[in-house]
Amino acid sequence: MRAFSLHAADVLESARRLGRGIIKRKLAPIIFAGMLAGSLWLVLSAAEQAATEEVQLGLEITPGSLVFSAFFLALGKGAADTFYRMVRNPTLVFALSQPVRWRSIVAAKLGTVLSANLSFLALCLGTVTALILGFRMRVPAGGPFVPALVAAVVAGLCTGFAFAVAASLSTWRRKALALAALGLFPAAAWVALVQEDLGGWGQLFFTAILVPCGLAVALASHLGLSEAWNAQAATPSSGVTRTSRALTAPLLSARASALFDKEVKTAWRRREIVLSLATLFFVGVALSAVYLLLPGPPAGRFARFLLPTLVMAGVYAGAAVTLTVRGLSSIGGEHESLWIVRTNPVHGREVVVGKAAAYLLIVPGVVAASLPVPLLAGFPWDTTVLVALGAWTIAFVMAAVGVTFGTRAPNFDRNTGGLPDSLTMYGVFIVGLLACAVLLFPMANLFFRDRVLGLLASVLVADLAVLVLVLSVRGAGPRIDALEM
Amino acid sequence: MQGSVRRRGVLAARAVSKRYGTIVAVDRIDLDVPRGEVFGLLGSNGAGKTTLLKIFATLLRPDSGHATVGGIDAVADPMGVRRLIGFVPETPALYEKLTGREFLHLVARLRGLPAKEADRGIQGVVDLLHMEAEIDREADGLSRGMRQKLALASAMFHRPPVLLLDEPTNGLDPRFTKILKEWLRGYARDGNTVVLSTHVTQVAESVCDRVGIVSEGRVAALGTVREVLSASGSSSLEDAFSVVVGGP
Repeated sequence: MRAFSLHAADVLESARRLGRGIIKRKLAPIIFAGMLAGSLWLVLSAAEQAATEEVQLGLEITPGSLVFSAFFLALGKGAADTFYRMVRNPTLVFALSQPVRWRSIVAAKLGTVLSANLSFLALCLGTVTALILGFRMRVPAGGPFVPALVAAVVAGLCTGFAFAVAASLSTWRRKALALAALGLFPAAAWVALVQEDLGGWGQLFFTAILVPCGLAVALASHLGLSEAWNAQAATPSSGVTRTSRALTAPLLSARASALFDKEVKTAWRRREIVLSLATLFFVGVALSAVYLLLPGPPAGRFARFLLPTLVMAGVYAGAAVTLTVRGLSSIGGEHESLWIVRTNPVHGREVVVGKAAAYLLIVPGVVAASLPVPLLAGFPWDTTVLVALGAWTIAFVMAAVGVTFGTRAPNFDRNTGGLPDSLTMYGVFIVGLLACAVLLFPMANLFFRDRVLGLLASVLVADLAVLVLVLSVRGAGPRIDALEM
Repeated sequence: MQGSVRRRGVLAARAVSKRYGTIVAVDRIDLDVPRGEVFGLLGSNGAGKTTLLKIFATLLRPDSGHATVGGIDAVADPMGVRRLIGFVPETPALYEKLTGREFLHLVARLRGLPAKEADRGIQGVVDLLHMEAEIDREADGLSRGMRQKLALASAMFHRPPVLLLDEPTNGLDPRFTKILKEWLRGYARDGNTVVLSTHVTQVAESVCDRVGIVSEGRVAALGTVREVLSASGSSSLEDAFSVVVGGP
């Protein structure tokens, strides 16, 4: 009962925030619905095409690998949600100090994470069903695939929940032990769903077993809740003593340069730069692995586009996670400390310039992540340059999208660490994808007709991407000046 | 212009109102605070003190009326106002991964202070508030009191003509409360203006030249401490506060 009361309070708070957001931006739900339906239609069309004969990439995309991907994505989302909603949430002290068992608090928060994400999944599945019926699409996803997918998402969210607590324990040794134990879940999922490819009913059976196991470890994570919460939210850190030199950024005003200095030092000390570069390194390695797993060169009508598109898809994902996400939380994440810039003589534009300049330190990493596949595949130099310029374009566009939405509709909810809700995030990523596609596809098409013109066009598009970021920064400045706090 | 500023006070509010939805936080307040004065805003929780300070600090825009600092309108020229003020909010969130010294240098760079002047000013407040031992630690490792001192230091070291302090003694121990009060008195004697909001009537009694008791978004009593006491027929500011606000 107490768990339900806590969960109900969470739901009420989230519903009110969502309601306020919708009242503020009345067109947003319509735009979001259009983007959701459009993007799912594209995915279903691609699946329909892949099921026929048009595309023969040679990759083995099986229902099992899709179910595993859903499990893995849900694990990441569950961990991130739990981290901000529970482990790193200072307001949890009000629940912890009540005569409530910590198991009830964990159950309440688990309920919140599950209900928020499963409602989004239900929305997606409902839309997919409507699209399949409406457009008479022939998508090979019948039988036990969908129940297995839902079960994998539930299991992934529960495992992610436990991961967030385990990764927040107070010592590296305890973290490593807990994470190693929980690592059995993704390892088992990989073996059963991808390596052994149990088949439709086998997948359903396996994921159905995974759900209660996931729920059990998530609920058992109350044993580490106190330690994790104290380590992340309650106890101040030891407060490292440092002396440092002030960084100055060329071309920026003195004030923007000062804010750049602050952003870089903060991102470095929070290990955000290292984590971003590690993520991009992982993207490069994953793309290389996918390329090396291909049984042979791609064939079919779109063969020449396939490898560059694969690379661009990986780069897009990397840029979204490293650049867009930071842009999205740029204002929401530091709401309470905004008084510092707002009571000193600094223009909002200078604030955004300082932040954006710091984000751009990641751009070389994004470009580097695009290079392993062209080098392994022995692309001609001009195609390699095209891919690198494409990655550059994606990086700037995704940074611009993050800055635009992060300042247009900043989320000041502590439960999300300044990031928008899942629906908005999805919409933002789709907008970024569309913007990248609009810029890159004409350029690539031209390149495969006339290489010289195509390269020149790609340089122009790379410049345009910089312009997109400059315009988004200019647009964002007045929004910061207009913020009331 | 200068004459007008002198007449109206360094800080002036004319029929300033601010609403949050249906709640009236500040209701047509008129106020003048002259140069060289320490002015205290007293009031119960939610009375509108913080909202009024935030309007002067350009963090909020009034729905109606005008607020000026040094003759500069806070809405028309917020940058001009920010050059004149130093502000400390009620709960000062800091940049957690910057050290105290880095934070103060950031403020100096944002205000365009020459490096030597900034160093001198920073060292002055570090010595005044006895922060030397912890000034090079990251803010996320600092105690509540040290964070408050750091926020105060960021408003004080560049010696702005107007200081706006929301509950400045929050988290400070009695020793540093005393140091701060003495410093504020001296700062005002040098011709600067200090406006502070506080719940602690003893602080207002000991440091403020004049006080205004804010109740339900309006200034219900205004004057020197003695004037407020005699108007309310009370022997202490605490009693006067209860009489004016209408509490127990």
